Amino acid sequence: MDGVHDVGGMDGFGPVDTAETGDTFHEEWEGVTYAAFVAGLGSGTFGIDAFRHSIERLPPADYLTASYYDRWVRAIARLFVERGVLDSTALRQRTAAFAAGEATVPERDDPELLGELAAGVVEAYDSDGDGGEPRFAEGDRVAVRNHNPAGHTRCPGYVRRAEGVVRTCRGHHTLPDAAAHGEERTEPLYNVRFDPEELWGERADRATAVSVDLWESYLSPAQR
Amino acid sequence: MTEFEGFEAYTREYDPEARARALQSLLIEEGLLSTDTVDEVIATYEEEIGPLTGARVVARAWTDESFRERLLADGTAALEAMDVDVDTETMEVEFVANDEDTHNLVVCTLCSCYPWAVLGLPPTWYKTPEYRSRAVRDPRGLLREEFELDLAGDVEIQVFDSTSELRYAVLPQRPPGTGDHSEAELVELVSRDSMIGVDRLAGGTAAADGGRAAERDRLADLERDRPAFEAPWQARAFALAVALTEDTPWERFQRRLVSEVDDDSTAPDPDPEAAYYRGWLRALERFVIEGELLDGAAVADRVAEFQAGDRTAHEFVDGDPHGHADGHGHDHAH
Repeated sequence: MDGVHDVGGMDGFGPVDTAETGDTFHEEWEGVTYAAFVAGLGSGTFGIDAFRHSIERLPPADYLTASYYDRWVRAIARLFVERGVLDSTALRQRTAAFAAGEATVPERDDPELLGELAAGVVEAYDSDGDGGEPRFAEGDRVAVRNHNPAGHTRCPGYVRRAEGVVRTCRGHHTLPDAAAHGEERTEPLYNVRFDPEELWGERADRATAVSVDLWESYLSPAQR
Repeated sequence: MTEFEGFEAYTREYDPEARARALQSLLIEEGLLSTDTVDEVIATYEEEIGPLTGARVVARAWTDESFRERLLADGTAALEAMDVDVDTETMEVEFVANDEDTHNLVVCTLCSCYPWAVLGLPPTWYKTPEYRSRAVRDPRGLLREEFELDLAGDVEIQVFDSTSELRYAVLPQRPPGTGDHSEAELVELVSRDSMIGVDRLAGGTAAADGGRAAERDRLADLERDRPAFEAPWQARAFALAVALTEDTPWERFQRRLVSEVDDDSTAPDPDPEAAYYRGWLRALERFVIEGELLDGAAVADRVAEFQAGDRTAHEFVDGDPHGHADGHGHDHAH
């Protein structure tokens, strides 16, 4: 989808705040959110592509104003409800109770659980697949198709319609565009290198290049 | 698929902490989370997985050429063969190597893909639209203005926009002057930022802040460690470099210098001070010629004249009674 998350090449965001806090998680709830992500992936409730798509589906203004882990906790809560694991009314009531300071987190240990979830996470990230001969080879010139899928895609908007050269073929991998919507499909994945003029025209810094990993269905043979 | 009715209103009504705690509580009640699991996940990312793993990989590549070749050819396989705890089951990592003319930079424009198996979770700035938007379009300006890394215009920047499957990490160049460092000492020098590509370790120092303060201290270090002048020509070479770099980034000269000193130090030298200033002089020569401040042939001719004794420097010295042989002198060189 052409969402606001697809920021590559956009102007106007301003300076980068490079201040280092030294903490992996700035607040405890951020670590809790990461654990909820592990629970979702590890239990097979949702996959990595559905998770990314859930973040992309946030309204643009919310995406840009929410903190990083706030985007996560929104996306994760929505998926647990959509996949039928949690009830939205129960979630809302419990949230209201925490906001009012009237709830505490239940304590329960389960020494087996982490191992089970970790195995599920490995499976969730496993995207290697088999398939036929890749259509393109190293050195081939390719053009990124001007496709604008309404759902999830890992094709950044700034490379669309641009031509580049295949740096390497990565073998077959799960196609995120399908997996995010419940369909299992693998395709060859390529690393494609683009010249700066092709992407940025006359504003390009000539001594730069951008390489992007792109699935086969994003590409067609170059015309130029 | 059950639609989450009123989802947006829900997320806007409550702060993220209340939403995260509610989620945690309900998942614990559903058996999908537990107290110990939450603690262990947090501890894993806060204490176990971090840039130290990547630093060990880089230090090994600096000290073991065959490992370096394997790492660049197939990063995941090389990591599996190494005695580091890298989660290669969930992630394929490709290391991309910097050299004198090439600099690599890693970004994820669509979200926050990051080689966490070797670097831990990404720093906050890596995940911001500010960094993600500019890294692909204007990496040189981004590095100069936001990370105080001023790369010369002829250093090609290769940006890797990780879209999901492959995670990229940068193999920085080994800092100059570290020839006698052990692998363990080298590990200490590798900053997280150098493996993302926003730091270049050119001065051979790095620190817990990702190396940026160290970058600023590089000139000071160089000055402190610089041998005292043993011969007048050494002082002149030094002064010339300082004067000529007034309007150009000092780093460009310094990079030349460190590469020349390095080249020279491959063979043991009985006189390290002289070797240092020989490097300084060669860097200076290359700098003025490549920067088109002087013509290479004219410099070579002049060197020959001095060597043959046909010329002395008196002509260039203000108030020198032996000077003014060819009219140069008084109103010169300020």
